[in-house]
Amino acid sequence: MRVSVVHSSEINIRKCYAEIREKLDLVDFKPNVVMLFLTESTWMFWKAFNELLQKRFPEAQMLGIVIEGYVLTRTIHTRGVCILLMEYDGDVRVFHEKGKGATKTAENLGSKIGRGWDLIVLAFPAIYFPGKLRLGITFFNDRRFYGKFQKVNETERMKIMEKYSEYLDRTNSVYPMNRTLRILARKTGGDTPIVGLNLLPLQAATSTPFILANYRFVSPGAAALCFKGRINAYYSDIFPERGKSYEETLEIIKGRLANVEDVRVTKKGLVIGEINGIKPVDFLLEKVKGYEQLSEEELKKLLDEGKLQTFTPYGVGFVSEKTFGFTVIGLYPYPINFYPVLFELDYFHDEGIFCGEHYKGGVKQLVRTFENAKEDSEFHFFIIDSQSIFSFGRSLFQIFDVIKLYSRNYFGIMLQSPPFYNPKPSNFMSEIEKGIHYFAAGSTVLIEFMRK
Amino acid sequence: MSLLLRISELLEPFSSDPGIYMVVLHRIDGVPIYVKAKRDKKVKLTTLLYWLEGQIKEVLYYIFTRNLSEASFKFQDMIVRMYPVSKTLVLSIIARDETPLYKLDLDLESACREINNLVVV
Amino acid sequence: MRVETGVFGLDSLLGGGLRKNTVTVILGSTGTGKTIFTLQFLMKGLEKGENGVYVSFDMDEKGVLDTALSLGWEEVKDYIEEERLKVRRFFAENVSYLNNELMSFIMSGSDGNSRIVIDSFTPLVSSLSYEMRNDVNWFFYKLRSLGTTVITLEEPLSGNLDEPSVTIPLFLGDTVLQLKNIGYGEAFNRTLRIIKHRGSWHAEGVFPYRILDGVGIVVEGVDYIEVRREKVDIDSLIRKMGVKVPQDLYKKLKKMCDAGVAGTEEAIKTILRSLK
Repeated sequence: MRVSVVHSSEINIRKCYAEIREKLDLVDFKPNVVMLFLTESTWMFWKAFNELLQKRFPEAQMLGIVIEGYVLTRTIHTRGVCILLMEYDGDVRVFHEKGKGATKTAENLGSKIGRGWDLIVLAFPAIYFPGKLRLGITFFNDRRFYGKFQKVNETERMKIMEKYSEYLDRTNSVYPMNRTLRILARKTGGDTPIVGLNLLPLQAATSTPFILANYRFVSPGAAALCFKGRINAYYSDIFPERGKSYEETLEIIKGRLANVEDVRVTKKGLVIGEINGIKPVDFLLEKVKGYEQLSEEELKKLLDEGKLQTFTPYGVGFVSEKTFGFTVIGLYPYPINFYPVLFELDYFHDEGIFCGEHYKGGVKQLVRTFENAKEDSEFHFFIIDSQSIFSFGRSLFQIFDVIKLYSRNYFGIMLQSPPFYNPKPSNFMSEIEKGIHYFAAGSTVLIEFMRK
Repeated sequence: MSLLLRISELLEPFSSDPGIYMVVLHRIDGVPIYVKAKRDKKVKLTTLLYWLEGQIKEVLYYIFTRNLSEASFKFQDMIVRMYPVSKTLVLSIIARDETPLYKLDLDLESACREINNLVVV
Repeated sequence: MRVETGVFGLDSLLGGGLRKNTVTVILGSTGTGKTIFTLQFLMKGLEKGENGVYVSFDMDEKGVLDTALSLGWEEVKDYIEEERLKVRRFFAENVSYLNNELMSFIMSGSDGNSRIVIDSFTPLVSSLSYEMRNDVNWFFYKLRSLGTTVITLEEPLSGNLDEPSVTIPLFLGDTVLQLKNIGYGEAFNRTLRIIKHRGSWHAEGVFPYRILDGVGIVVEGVDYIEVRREKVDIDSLIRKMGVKVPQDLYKKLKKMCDAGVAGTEEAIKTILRSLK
């Protein structure tokens, strides 16, 4: 197996392109896997890089996404372009699906992938930010559904939230990660680990996030890079093991989060209707002084400029009824009534907690998954939570102190906290369903390529 | 490739950033080793550059004796950030006040580390 | 016509080297390599068949020879034996000022095309006042008629350059190079800066240098200067800006473009804007 990482941190697009082209000339093997990672300074020029790579490596299996940053041998970069080229020893293939609806896409993609793979890297949008027209319709439907929601009894409210969730699914607006991974796991036999690249830029723009699969633009669909061969994947979060009961988990997690407050949440499917009896955003504004609600116009303008903030230090946490695992969804004062979330909420307790900063325990916990690395591994590819940029700033460089102990050849990307399906259940706090792990911040996935 | 060229390659991308007015690598005695300023801001920045030269020794003193990882100064619509690179070098960035630096900070730290690697012999 | 300095990497930063029959001042504190610089300068001329004169206030012939040998330049011995290199130590207390004895010695080894070194000039001018500027001017004038001269000047450790003994030679010298050694042992520990280079383009900035056995001072940065060079198409720039340029100015601008110095385009635009 041979691996090469080609990158340019130049933000002047001409210089960046020229540098990448020059560096690609130096690649002395024929990769069968090409992963294109664009950052906020270059994603709008994806066509140029896509074409360049297609010309150079037309036969390769290709996946392209937008990331927040990348980690090289001793440096971290958030600008420019990075390309991972691999001559993988086993079978490798990219599947994609541009289906109508998130669930439908996952079903169809799962069928295409089939059984027998050793690892699946699945790229899908956590939330898709459509063009202005579709966005306007979504705002209209949010008001329409919420208007009804406010006038009916508890049972009817659930039905309305369910319908609105179906609408969000149908329009590819939200790909709930637990449902997506659940469907994929079922369709692919249940014994293949799935690493989720759930895409949600820290600063969103119209028609983002996007996915390129085998040099084709497949957004708002999903794509999977599937490996067969000597490959492992490990997951870790930064929290202690979860409790064995609802109460125990809450007790453990409360000690790790800031500004904790018990709340009761009205929720169903992919949306939160109320927190403590009021609109989620109103609740947030009541709790966090200094926050102001965005107007629809402001939000559209920010999306146009690619500056809509998606990260937030505040969120609502839930305990899973299935595993007693725990996860958090961030809250930000968007101009919405129903609050859409990144995972299906039906198997979580209604009593949750409102909490602040998710990180405690230091930078080094963030990469503890490297402790799983085997000595005869050849290359490590890891996905690290991009919110760590805010939580740790330049201290993030301490991850190298840990990584160097376990790996000689590594490369990482920074992305929204990665979800993970592990056929073997774990004790992680963030295991929210059997085998399915997700936490809004602080999780890391390590993919290990072994020697043949 | 000479040291200066390598350093300019590492720092050039920062000066392309629309929010960054000037990138300066100062030696401990205040001598600018590398300077790149936005053309339209040069006049405005000249006085700041002289001021910066005067601050270098002081800032380095604090960085090394008080373990400061960076120093920051805010002017009307500009912010000056100084990052230690080595025992003798400080990287200064002069940016527009509202430029978000949280991600840029990582790239700057990477550049500082790369330069440190080049200059510490 | 340029005179190669003999210092690796420096000539390109000086637009090809020193100008012939000029006086160059090397300013630097102790330990910066001023003496090595002067020896390299002399060696280059001697290699090319030119003559050299070395005036020292610290070292006699043996001292100069030892310094050269320590750097691996054994051929100096032959040059001295062949009398192509004349070395004399003067004692500052005996040389009251820029006197005849000193000038006679320099003249005895010069043929108008020689390389002359005074290392260092500081003892000669330590009691200098601003009224004596004309004397230094006369001395430099004489030196120019005898060859191409490099003199060294000690930079006070205090960094105070306001003394007439420093400022006058700096004003009157044709080229001034400043060597610095900050003593922290990193790559930018030793740097060279071209403060002025009369009648010629020179590179701006500070350039790191090293002192290496066998070769002496090596200055880095030529490639840096090269990549910063600008290619400017003067005709299209004039067309774009829509101005009428007088013929004599056009020639000057064309010359600027040919030099290709960083910042040329912006400078030309400023000039053309003023014509509007």
